[in-house]
Amino acid sequence: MLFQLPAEVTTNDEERIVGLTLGRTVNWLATPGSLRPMANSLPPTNPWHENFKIMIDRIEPLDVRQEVAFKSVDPVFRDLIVRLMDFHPGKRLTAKEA
Amino acid sequence: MYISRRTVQALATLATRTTAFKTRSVYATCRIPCQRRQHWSSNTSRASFCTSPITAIFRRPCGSPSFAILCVASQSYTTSILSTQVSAVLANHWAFLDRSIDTIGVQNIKPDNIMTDFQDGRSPVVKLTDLEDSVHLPPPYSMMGRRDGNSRWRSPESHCQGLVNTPSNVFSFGATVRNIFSQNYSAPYLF
Repeated sequence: MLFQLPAEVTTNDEERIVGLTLGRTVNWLATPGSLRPMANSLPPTNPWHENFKIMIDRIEPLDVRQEVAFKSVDPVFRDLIVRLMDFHPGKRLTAKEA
Repeated sequence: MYISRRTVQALATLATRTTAFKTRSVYATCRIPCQRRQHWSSNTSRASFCTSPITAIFRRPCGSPSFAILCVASQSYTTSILSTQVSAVLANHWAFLDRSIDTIGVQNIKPDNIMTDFQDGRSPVVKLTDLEDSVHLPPPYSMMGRRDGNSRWRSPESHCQGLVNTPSNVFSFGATVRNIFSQNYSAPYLF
């Protein structure tokens, strides 16, 4: 399960759930090119507006991280999945393109 | 698990085929109210088909139009049957997405909301359920400030309460596909 939560996390603990799941999403799928428009699409009052801007300079190359997350699937299939799950909504595949 | 290039091509070609159902009629709202395998056998009049190794498919009694796809954890089946049958199911789901891309609900795509009528030799009819509380969002509009759906299938822009639209559904679909083809069937996807 890609976004499986630990057993001790309860459903009421929403901030922790968001932190864990969104952290994994950033870890496996985000690039500086997709983090920047994502941060700009959020209003400045949103805390993730600032968080994403901090992440832009610190994030490592994407290939290394995706090898860990998607190592069990075929490379061709992985390419499709990664394009479906692109971090930036505007760059994601649409149903017609796929 | 090894997914061949041919399977991926089959996904793409099957997606272009059309299935005979109307867009409005796919909004089935009833769900089978049971969570565990032993409840299924007593609750359903007949287990109509169990053809697919990963998915045991049960039909509700009295000719009700709802079907449920239950993903069973097993490593003993051959991956070739698994990948072709699941890709056929997914490809029809894909065709459905293509057709009703602007009328679809937001954040509703996850494995237990995909109902299918799968039989041997036929292309299955795939339906989406749980659209009671979904929103009709034509393309220029987006939803903001909500954190809808389950955290496992939620898109990042929904997590940080940004602009949510049909790309969020595509993200959920990608997570669904990835989980179906992943090797760890430690839990059925009843979330």
